[in-house]
Amino acid sequence: MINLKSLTATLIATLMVAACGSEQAQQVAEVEEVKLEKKAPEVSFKPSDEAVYEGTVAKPGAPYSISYRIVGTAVVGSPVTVDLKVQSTLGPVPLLLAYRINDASSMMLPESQPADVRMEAVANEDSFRQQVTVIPQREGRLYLNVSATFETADGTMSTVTAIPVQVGSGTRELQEHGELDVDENGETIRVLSPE
Amino acid sequence: MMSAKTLQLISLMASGLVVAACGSSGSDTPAPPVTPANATPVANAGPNQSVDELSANSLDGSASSDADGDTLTYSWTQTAGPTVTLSDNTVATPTFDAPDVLATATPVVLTFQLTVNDGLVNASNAVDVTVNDVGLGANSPPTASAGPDQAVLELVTVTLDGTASADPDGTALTYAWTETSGTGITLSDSTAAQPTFTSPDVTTPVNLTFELSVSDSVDSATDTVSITVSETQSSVAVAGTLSLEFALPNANCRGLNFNNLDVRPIRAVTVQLLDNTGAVLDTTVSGDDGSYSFADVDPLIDVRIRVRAELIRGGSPSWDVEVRDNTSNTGVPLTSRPLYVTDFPLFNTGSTDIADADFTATTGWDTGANAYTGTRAAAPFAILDAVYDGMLLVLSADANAAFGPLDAYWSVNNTLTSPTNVDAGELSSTFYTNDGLYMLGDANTDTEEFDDHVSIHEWGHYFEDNFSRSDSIGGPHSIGGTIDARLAFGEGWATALAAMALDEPQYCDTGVPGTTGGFGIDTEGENRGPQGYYNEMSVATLIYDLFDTNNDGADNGSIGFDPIFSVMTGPQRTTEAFTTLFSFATAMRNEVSGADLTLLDALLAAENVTLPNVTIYADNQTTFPAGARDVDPVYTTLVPGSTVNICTNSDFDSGRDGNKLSQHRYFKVTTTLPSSTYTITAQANPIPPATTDAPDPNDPTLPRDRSDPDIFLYRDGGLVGLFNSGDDDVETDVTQALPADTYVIALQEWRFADDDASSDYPDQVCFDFSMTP
Repeated sequence: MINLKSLTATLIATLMVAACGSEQAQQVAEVEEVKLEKKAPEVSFKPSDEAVYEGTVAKPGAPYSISYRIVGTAVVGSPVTVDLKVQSTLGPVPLLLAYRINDASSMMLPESQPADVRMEAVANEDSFRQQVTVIPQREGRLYLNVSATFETADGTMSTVTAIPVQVGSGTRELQEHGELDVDENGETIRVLSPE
Repeated sequence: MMSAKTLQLISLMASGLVVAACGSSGSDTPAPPVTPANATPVANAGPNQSVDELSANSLDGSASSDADGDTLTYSWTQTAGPTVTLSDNTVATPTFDAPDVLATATPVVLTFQLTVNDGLVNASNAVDVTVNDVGLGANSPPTASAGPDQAVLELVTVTLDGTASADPDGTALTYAWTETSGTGITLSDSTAAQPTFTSPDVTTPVNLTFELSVSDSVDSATDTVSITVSETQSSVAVAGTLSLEFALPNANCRGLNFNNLDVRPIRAVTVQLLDNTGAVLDTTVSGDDGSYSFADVDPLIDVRIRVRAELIRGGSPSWDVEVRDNTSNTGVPLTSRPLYVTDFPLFNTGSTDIADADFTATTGWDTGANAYTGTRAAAPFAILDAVYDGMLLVLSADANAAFGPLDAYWSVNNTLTSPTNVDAGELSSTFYTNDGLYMLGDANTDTEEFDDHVSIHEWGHYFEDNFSRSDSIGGPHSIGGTIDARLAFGEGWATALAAMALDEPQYCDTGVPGTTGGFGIDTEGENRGPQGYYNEMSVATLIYDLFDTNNDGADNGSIGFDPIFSVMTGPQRTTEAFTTLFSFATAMRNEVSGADLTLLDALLAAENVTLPNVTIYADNQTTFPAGARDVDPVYTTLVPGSTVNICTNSDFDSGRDGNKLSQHRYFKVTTTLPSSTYTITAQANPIPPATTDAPDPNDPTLPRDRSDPDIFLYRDGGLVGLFNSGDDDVETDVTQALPADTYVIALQEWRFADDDASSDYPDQVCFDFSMTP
């Protein structure tokens, strides 16, 4: 399991180091700066409740975020539950959750699982919690797309997050777009030709 | 005289009258007399004929007959062909003169119909008379055609073409070509239908005019043709304009409107001229209007334009921005992943300069299908376009700016998910790190290429890294949140920079293409949540209002970008305190004066900054929001050797993000010893009570319920001490030798940011904190 403490500490230190230009380095030459491995600023959501979420999607400035965790281990043919938590700063507005599986051969929603769920806001709560069940149809890194639509006074506001469901050891099937080639200097290029 | 037919009719009528007078009188009544039937006459218009034009001819219906011997009457009518006049159309053999016909119109056929009548019934028959041209009659004049005008190169064989000339009579034509203007051309044969000549050697375009006269020996006609002779170029120029389709957002940033495409120039990118084998013939850079040009290109070869998704410029100013696919060739470093290029169709260079080789990188969107069905060629250039807008803003303040290298990573696979795995295209957001700018591109979740505010916002963090400084601790943050002062400044700055670069305060982040997903932020008027140094929109609004020329609220002026740039690249970069609204405001108050200072102070007051004594350490600032715990003072002054008790809490962190206000407490420490190590200690006091939650089912061995303080020690923005041992309830370490100076410290209760913390862990923890030589 990831040591989140060390990750976050590394992140913070990294941001600081990255912010320092050479000019500053000269000014404090007599003090050794702490050098740490460069890391991406992973957005780690850290819930305080009973659920330990595996991931959170929160775009810069967005008034909402979506967290999830897979309960247990996903295997082919067996239902697996996904805990969802949707937070917002939009106030007490209703939320419509919609579940979509773009690759129909990867997973399916069981008959008992509604594809759309409407939730009313709960007083003094800034989050919605919901569970959704999917049945993997094959191994691989599969995705459940969760659409969250908030019904605000100014109209609806929506976002879509892909929840990864790891089944077995497979990796994500990536889409090819354009053609790979090599240019005159030996550099790999991806050629996008308008049609 | 009574005819036989009339007499027969009278006889029949008389017999009938006799029978009627006698009535029916039995079998001995005599039989009525037999009446003979009338035979139909036979019309015969004579055999078909072939006659000469203008000759005298006759028709012959005399072979017509009637079996009863009745006298026939004749009626001729012309049913086809040029109308002729019959001598008498009621006689058996009328005459007529054949018309004059043209050789080009033969054969001409006249059709006549003969109708005969025996007094009771008609009979008809037709005859064709073919009229042949035998050269009699009036001559029809010919028509002349000297062929189409031509544009030719010098010293080549040119063919004049008069073969489209014609004579209606079919008479053979004679040709006569003469040069009526030009250089004195010698034709191969001036009487030929298609003479040739060699175009003259010219240095400038020369026009030759030839007249063709054709004759059928009776009449003649003329026509002229123009031949423009140009110098043969050893090379040609190829020039044009490059554009991209840019999808604009719907109202309120709810999705993209692909029916409202903005066609923008592809600016400052690398443009290559390739031959049909893919070899690079030449390279240039497009202008800010998207124009490009190549000189000295071989004529008459097939070439194509390749546009590389990169902005590269050496010298001063300088930059190096490239857009790459992070999900391909994952076995190599990110900076070696495939660079996006767009190849436009082949075309021939021809023999003269080309000025309109214009090409457009398209979105790939199909409005009918409401989906991407084509190549998304515009995407990499849309990202570069936004970045270039940011660069231009910086260049407006520093014309010689040196932009450090930046790679932007975009892919149709870059989906919005978590955790981040850039190789797999899994991004928890669009974000910047000091190794690149990562952009979403999966049309099933979110795309960013046309969200230019988002692109520049992230580029704003690049700006901090390369021109200024950011002490931001990152992590989740939402509009209206009450967050760590360093995070608030970094995010607010980036949002303001996007609005300034685009001169558009509406920050748009659209969602799934083809839907109304997304949200917008009004950089000028967003005031969600408590306003202050801990609110990113307070920072964004303040900076944008300083810049913009629109007056609203406390904003009644503009200082432009130069002073902002000066502060960000000067004192904000070198401040010994953390980069917050206070360090910025302090420097800005020193930067401007007069009306500009008045404006600044009005805007600061609107964000609840206490004036006029603003300092980088937020001295004398009051607590906002009112009643909040563990906020004041923003910086606690720590005297070496002394101990202070200070608390942290998670009051503003409903999600344990660990980056909210009062979760990191700041200290200012001034040391006087020339060079000394220090024991730095944070001891929980009181020690938090034990938690009661069951162990984490995923990992029961994880420490879950003890305080875990962490300490970050900085000097002028540089991290010179990181103390995060994980010991329970205490963190104590010895620093490296520190010279006399002022240092700042951030103290954090890690448990507030711990995924595995117990749910009943207290929301406030206090520490005895000291730094002892």
